[in-house]
Amino acid sequence: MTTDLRYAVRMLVKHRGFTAVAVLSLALGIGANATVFCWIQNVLLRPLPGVANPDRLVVLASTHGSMTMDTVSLPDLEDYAQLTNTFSGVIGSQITPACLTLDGELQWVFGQIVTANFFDLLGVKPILGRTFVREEGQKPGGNPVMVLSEGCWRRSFGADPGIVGRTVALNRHSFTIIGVLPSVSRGTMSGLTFDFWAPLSMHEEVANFGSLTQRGDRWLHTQARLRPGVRRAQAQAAVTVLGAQLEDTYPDSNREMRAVVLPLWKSPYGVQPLMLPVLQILLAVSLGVLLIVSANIANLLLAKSVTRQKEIAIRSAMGARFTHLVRQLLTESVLLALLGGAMGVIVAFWATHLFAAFVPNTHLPIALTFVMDRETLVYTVIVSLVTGLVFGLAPAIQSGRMNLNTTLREGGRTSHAGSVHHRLRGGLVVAEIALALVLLVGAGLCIKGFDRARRTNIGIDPRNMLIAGLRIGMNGYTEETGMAFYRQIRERLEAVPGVGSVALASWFPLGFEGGSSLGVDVEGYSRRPNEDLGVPYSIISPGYFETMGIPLLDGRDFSERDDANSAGAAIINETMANRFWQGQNPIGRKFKIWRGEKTVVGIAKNGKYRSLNELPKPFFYLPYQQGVWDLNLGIAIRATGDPASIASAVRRDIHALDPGVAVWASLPMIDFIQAAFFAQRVASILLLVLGAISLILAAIGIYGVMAYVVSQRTHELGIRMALGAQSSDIRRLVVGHGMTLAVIGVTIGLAGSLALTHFLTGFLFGVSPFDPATFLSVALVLAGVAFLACYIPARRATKVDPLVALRCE
Amino acid sequence: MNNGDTLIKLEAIKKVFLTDEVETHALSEIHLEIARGEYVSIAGPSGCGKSTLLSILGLLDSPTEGVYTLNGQSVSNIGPSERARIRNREVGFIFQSFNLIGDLTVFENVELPLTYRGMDGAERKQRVSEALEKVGMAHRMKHYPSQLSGGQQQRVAVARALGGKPSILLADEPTGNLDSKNGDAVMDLLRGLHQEGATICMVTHDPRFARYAERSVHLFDGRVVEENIEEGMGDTTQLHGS
Repeated sequence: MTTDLRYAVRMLVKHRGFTAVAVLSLALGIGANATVFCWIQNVLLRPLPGVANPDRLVVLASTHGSMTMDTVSLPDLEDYAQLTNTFSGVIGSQITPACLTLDGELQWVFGQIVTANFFDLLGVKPILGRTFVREEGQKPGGNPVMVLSEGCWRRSFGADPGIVGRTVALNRHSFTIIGVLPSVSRGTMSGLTFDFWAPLSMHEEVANFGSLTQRGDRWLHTQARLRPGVRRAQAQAAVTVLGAQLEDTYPDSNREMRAVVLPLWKSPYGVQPLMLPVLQILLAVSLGVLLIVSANIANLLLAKSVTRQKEIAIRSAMGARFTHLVRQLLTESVLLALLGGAMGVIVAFWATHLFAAFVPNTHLPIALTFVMDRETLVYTVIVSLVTGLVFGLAPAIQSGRMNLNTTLREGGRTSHAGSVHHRLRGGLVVAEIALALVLLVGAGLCIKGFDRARRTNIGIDPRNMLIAGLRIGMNGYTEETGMAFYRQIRERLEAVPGVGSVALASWFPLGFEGGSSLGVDVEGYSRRPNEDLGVPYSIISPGYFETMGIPLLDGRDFSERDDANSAGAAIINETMANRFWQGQNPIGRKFKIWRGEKTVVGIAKNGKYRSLNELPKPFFYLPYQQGVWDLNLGIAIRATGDPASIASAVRRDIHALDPGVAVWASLPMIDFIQAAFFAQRVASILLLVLGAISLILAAIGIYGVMAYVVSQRTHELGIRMALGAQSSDIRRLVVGHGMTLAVIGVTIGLAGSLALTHFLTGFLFGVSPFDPATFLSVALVLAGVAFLACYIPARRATKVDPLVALRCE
Repeated sequence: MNNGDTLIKLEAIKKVFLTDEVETHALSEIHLEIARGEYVSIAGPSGCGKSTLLSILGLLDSPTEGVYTLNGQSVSNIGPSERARIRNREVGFIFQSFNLIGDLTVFENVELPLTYRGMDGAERKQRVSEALEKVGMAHRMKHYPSQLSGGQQQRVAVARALGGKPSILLADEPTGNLDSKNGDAVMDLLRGLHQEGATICMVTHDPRFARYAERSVHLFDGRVVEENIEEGMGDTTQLHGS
């Protein structure tokens, strides 16, 4: 083995040019795989850094029929926690922004309100002070304590070593800092990082939403730790049984409600659901690129093996068995692959951080940091070894097929490859072209879809719009004073120069936040079995439709007269009208939600709410004067010009109205809705990059084969020319050979694309996965590149001097 | 040096090549015995089947028909792996074009067959040194073949053949790529080895070198047409024709 290794090193050093090309190709292929695996590892497999034994951690999510809701109510959570044979503990949390007052300055921070056992269950130890104790989860409003992240401690408190015990104002309430977490601990919402954690008992002071006692109020992200030896399927069975019992006991709140036990990588919240499909596609594509690289290098090695036939024959004559030869050749290819893998790791170190460039401007504390951990390195080594074996195998097997007698006697003067050898090389080129075509078709479809998505009608006009968040619920406002504040804000902002119109809303479409739904009970509508009657909604002010650019199709907009003293009003969208009042006029019709009866006063045009690909879905709007549960609304402003130019004026006016209210998350609507384009954008750009790499590799592959064919057929070409063949005849001969391979590859690639592109459906907006224009144009581009790759060796073939060529033999 | 003990026995060996449905009879009904310690040359015109016969003797190729017994073991119908093993242990090759591996040093070239035997490093080193000493190339063991003259390369090839202490040395036109001076030197080297007890079978078309052997086998159209015992350089005795 040492001898094999020594010789392999010597061969790689001797053939520096080949080694450099192969190592660089492998670095691209293996680097792409390592990068995608690093993303998968950090986003899906190890999404919660700093958590002990994350493999035992599962997500508990409520389900209603076929619909999975992200969250669980606290009473349900506490009941699941009673399954002590299954879970060693269950934790709940919710994310929230909060306003920290430091030296009289307001500062927005993001945190989680959590059950008191949160850190114990996660196995997170503080670097200063302590985390929560059981008693701090008990008494509502009675435990004003908080734990800081290391980042917040350094940024806002100058890494004060005496921070523990210090009191600060959070949402104007006094909180005592009891501990600081290590920087690696980022909470339980993957992809986000938080500044603070407060106990759930303080939820009214910190978040002002959700109920701790109502079983039907499902708002807690819930995770549980499986007891040692308990499998997820067993936990699922236990939870399902308990869910049925809860339905029997609490039919009002738990009708048809169950819970599902999910692994962390399938979490319905955090960055996993956003990235899972993208990463699946990227993994498949990067493996495709690696296959092309392998085919390319196998081809180069096959070409080299012809020149090494004499060496192999000598080794055989000296008594080398087939296994000796295979071992020698595989040692070389695996060494080459490991070198490529090492370079690939360097590529991946650099490329993993590229992901941050895709994250849109958002008010959420997104923290996508990628650590090249041990698992990623092990994966890279395995991929390198397998790659080395894959591309080394064909030349190694070929080594056992030669005629020793002839090869030794010819003494290496002329080396002829057999027909099997030629077919193998041709087959590899065909495979490369086919794979490249599949990847390019995928990239082409995604890019076309992304382009269509950017130009599609999303139901709102985001141009010249600014949105901003207000959190007055924690500023001591009552429902009455809060409504008055919002009215005044609208009036003041509408008077700001450059402001066209102003509206308020509890939720804006197409951002990262999912929004809320309410169960509706429609007068005269019979619910079908297992039909989910939850409908998403938003609480809005008058002028919302005008400001957002949403046409009202029928009825009227809300007015300030739609207040607590008037009948409950609602505006529904077209889909809701068609679903519940098909063939009827819904105006004046009624439906119930848990806060009372609503009368439909208007119908708004459909829009996109959560994603660009969603099917038309029902949606309704409620007037803010008739109740905002948490008093928190966002502001939408349509500017007459650049929305950024009015941002400071908006802040100034709000501050003038109440210096205790700080604007958070002010950003142009165009930036806000980039969340909806995120997956398509990532998929399109990365597929384009990988597709371009595969195109280049395929071109190199076909060029390499044709150049080799020309060099092998020099003598034959010389004879043809001596017999009177014109340059054009020779060109046609060579190009014809290459293009035959290209056409076969394109044909197989088209068939492969037809079979595979439906997996991209989730990323394609307004484009069929079988879009003929994309298929045709990619096929033509690839054929064109193949033609060029053939033409260069063909031209060289026409320069063959018949005299020299004939003498060669 | 012939001690009468049969090392190689060929019985009715035939070799037929099939190319594009055309049969070419390279060897027909070859009967040949080589005794341990014997020095045999195979001679004949170009295309008579000399090299094919040598390839079969060296287990580089297999006969289409017939029985080949090497060292008492029938090797006509054994698998590639066993052939490689026997080749490694029983046969030492010396080729016309030397067939040294250009990327290996002189030492490594001589060591090569021993590495396939799984021999430990110290023993390999000793064997290689001895073999190189014997051919007078020990001082060049760190050189690469390209740094040597043709004669030197062939001496290294002889050392490689000797290193494994094979039962027989098969030499295929060992002087074909050498000038007369170097050719003579290599032939002297082979004669010396024979005098020390080596069994040698050499293909040559040069009658001058064929006389170095104790016995000369003449092939024509794939058949043995004549066998002579050389009684000294220039003296020939015809034993029988066929």
